[in-house]
Amino acid sequence: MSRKRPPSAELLTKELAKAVAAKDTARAIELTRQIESQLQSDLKETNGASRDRGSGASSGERPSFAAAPAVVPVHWTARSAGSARQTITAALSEIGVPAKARLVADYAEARFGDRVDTRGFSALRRDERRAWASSSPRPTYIVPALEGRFFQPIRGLLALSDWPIERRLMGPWSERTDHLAATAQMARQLAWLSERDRAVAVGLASVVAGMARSVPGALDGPHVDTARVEAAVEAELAEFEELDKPWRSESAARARKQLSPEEQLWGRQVKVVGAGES
Amino acid sequence: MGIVMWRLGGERFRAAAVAWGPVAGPFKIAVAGEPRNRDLYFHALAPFATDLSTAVRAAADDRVARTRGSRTDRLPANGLQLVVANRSTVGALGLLGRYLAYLSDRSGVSPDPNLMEAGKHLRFYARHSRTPGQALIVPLDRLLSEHWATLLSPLEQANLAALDAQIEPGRGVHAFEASAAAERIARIGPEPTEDIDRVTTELVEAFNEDRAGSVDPAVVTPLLEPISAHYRALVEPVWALIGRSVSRERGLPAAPSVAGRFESDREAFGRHVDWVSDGGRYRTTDTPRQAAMTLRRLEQARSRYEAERAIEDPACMVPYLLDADAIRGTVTNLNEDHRTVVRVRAVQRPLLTLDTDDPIVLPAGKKLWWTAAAHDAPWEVVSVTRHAAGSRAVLMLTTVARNDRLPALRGRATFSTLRTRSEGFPLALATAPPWTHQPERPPAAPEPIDAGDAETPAAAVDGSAVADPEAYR
Amino acid sequence: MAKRSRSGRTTSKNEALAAVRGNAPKASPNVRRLAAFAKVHSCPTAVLAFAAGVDSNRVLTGTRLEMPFGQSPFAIGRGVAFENLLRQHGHAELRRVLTEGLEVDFALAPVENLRQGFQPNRTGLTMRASVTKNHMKEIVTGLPRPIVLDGAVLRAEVGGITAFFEADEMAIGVGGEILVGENKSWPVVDGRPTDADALGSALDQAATYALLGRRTLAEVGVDPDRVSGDVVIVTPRNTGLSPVLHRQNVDGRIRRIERLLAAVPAVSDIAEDLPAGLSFDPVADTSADDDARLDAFAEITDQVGNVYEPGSCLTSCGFAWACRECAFGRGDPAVAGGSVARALPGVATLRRVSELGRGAPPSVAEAPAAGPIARAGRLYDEAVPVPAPRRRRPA
Repeated sequence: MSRKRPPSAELLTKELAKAVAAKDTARAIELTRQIESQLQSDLKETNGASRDRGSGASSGERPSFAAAPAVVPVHWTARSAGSARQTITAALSEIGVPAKARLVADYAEARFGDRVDTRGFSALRRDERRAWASSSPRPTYIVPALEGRFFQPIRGLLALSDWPIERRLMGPWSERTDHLAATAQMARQLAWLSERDRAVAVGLASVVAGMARSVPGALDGPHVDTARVEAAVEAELAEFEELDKPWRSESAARARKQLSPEEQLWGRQVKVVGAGES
Repeated sequence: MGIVMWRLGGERFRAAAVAWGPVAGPFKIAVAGEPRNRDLYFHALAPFATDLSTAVRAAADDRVARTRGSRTDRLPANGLQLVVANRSTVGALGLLGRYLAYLSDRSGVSPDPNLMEAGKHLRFYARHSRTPGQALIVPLDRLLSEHWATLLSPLEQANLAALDAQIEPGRGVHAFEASAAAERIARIGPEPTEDIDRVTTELVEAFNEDRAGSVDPAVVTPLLEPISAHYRALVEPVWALIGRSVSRERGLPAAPSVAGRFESDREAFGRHVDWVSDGGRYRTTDTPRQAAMTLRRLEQARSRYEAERAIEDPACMVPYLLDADAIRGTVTNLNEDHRTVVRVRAVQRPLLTLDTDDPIVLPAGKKLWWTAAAHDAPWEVVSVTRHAAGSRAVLMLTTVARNDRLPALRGRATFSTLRTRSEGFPLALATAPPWTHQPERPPAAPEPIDAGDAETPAAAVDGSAVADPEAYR
Repeated sequence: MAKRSRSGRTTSKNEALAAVRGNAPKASPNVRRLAAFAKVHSCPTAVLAFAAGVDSNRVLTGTRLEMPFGQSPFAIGRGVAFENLLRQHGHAELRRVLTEGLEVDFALAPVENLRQGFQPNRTGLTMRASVTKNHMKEIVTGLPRPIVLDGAVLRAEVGGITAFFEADEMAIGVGGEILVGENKSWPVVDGRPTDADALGSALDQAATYALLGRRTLAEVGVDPDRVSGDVVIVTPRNTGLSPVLHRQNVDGRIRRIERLLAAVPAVSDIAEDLPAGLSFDPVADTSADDDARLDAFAEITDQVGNVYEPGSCLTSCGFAWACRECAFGRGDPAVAGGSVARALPGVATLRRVSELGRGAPPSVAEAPAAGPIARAGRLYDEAVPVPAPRRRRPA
């Protein structure tokens, strides 16, 4: 990040700090977007200037990353629940679709440098539910995704409460569809980051490579070409969405009719009468 | 050469430890530490591969001539005999051989040719083990089951320690108790039990952490100590068991037919080594014609082997006697000069009367061979009548008299349907298989067997951590 | 868990069996246990243990007759990793291997994942069974398009007990048929599975599942043969974990298992005849000493009866060593194997076999076997005239 920051971005950042402290997430996100676009234009200016001056940085060339999909043993250290919650929320909102705890943790580590202990996720689930029931509301909660037939909560699959219920229901095509959507989104995020923060981009590239492994044509050799990944993924995603979307809207319609607002967030525990035999 | 192998649990191609050496002598042991890592694995196996290939070639170099009719072949004077604890080890070595013999290059680097050659040898031994009566690779569980009658059911006989305990239970201990105790305590391999691998898991995890991805022998070798000690302790009792069993079996006299069978073994051994020296490549699967020929060859070998066993060992003949495929009695009359008319002339066909202890039923004309002349012409049943408690059978030899063809008068003799010379002339199978169905396209070239080596090994999961561990069996 | 009993009889039958189990380790029926049980179904003790939900592998824990079982963590880890690989990324690998192996395009097939969201208890199993049954019914009414059920559950009755059986996967709509699939982590090399025993066991499990699937279809009035006699085993290929599919017909196994299970006495019959106070509790009591526990086991087998056959028992039942020891104590010829026992009808002990072999006069019951035994004795005495180097007390 360039040290010389034009005054407008600096002011926005101060506003952002205030919004975050006040837990006004919506405003914080809006401000972030503004800062983003401000910095983008700044960067173009700076790069243009430095090119004229003949210094190193070049633009327009998309760097590739030696991202051999390797598993690196990492020692997890647990953090306090508070910051973990923020990290998970931020990661999930960037991923944009229901995701497994493991993926959220990997993404968060690559993206923010925060380590979240996946063993704490079940405690988190209970805390969220309790917080929802208490009198101090939060703008969003981390909720479980729901299976789309009986609307039972799916352990280990996380979503955010401010997503429409369509996005939180899982049907026969949804797992693949969501995987593809998440991969595409991460590839786009990686492309954006590659111009801004190489260190983070390298870490994220390995997550993207892992995700893209199951998409034919997405990866070619050890380097992650985000344009290639996106193209391959979007092609398959289009086919799946054709099947997944109608299923999800039908399921959502049923859910809105049958479930209470609480159940629409947290799912339904089903009891079957007469199920006890021998 | 004795070989003991311990695999990494569930990994059919990964020997966590291989021990080899002269039976009842000291063994060398190869331990990779992390056998799922190619570099470590190959580095560890190299000495084993080298020793095996050297021993095979040395045995094959020493040749003697054998003349049959107008043909003279040069056969190895001896074959390298491998001794292992059980049939599972033979299978495990065969899979290891299949893997090593067909290793593919990695980033342009060819694998160690010693390993590939050793793989070919191991594959040969594993395939040859299917031949009944062969002795090039000896699984001791099979050997002891064949030589000793014990209280063990066929399934239980696959445990060498149990067999050994039944044969020599120790003073004052009943064979049954001894073998039950052996089953509880003994660990023979190649597949490790849960308790063994719980220890292995920890050792391997520590090892992998300590080496931190390095495959440099200088770094890795000192770190291997705990794992080597672990496997050494597992190999030692098996090695001792093998030594004990072999020296006991060596004390038994060899049957006369052993030399003949081992000659076939030596022949096959010699051919194999010649082929490997020529850079031999084996098909991984047989063509239909090869499969049919192999099947027939194996069937013939089985009948011959069973015949030889029964003929040479009276105890093995008993089942045939009980099944009425053989008769035994006293020769009460022998007429060497008996003549009969065959076609136009009268020819000499000795006539023999056998009084059996038990009643027998045989059709006239049935052919039986005297066990001492089972390679020769048969006797034909002329008549069977009741006599005292048993029967009186009159048999006629189907050829002229000669001393070695006639049992002694008033002596005991056994006649059976078993003979040791194959009948007729073997017909060669047509070169092209007679069936018309062929697949439209030849099958695609198979993926190299070691393609999966690059994958990251799966993390070990203890049985207590899953709901139903037996589901993964 | 609240039970609503169908009738007073059902409850008392269940209560009687629960008393039999007592605090002994529990085992819920699954296809693997059912397939193993089929091998020992003629043993009343095994039937009782199965009906009462007793885990025969664990009852004798801590005694010297505890049989080794359990698997290397590497093997289990491999199995877990393989299952995960198949399901990862929205079942990408499962789709691929089914497409490749069955020559039907599963790339866009719906995959009903019945493992997520459902409770890991009877309620969840009941719901999954209902979803499974509905899907199976649909193949008749609807278009036979490819669909995969991951974690399908079948509800079936065996010997009067209702149980839930979970399959690895079921591929539906393959040529209008349903194919049962099992995942295993031992490899297939050169197109052939490397472990014949393990393959046989996997095929038995899949066949059992196919049989139960056919019964389910019959229950809803659909032609049972819509469950194919072919089953699918998904294993790694060569080294590594890349999946490959092996398809094999198991009609013979299905018929055999069907015959075996039909011969299982109904649980109600067993429950009715149970002697009062019979329980596996004292056998499983780890605070008691070995002998007390084994005596308690012998009590059960005496009262209920048992059938020991090493070939079947040693590979299927955790009581095998205990029964073997009892059999040996009695001098039962069965210790040497089923074929030996069958050759000696009417002869009660090995000692008696030895005597008859030396010419002792047989009783009327022993007469049929006595002739060949005496003969064999004479022949062996002649063949091996040297007496055994150690004389030991005959069993």
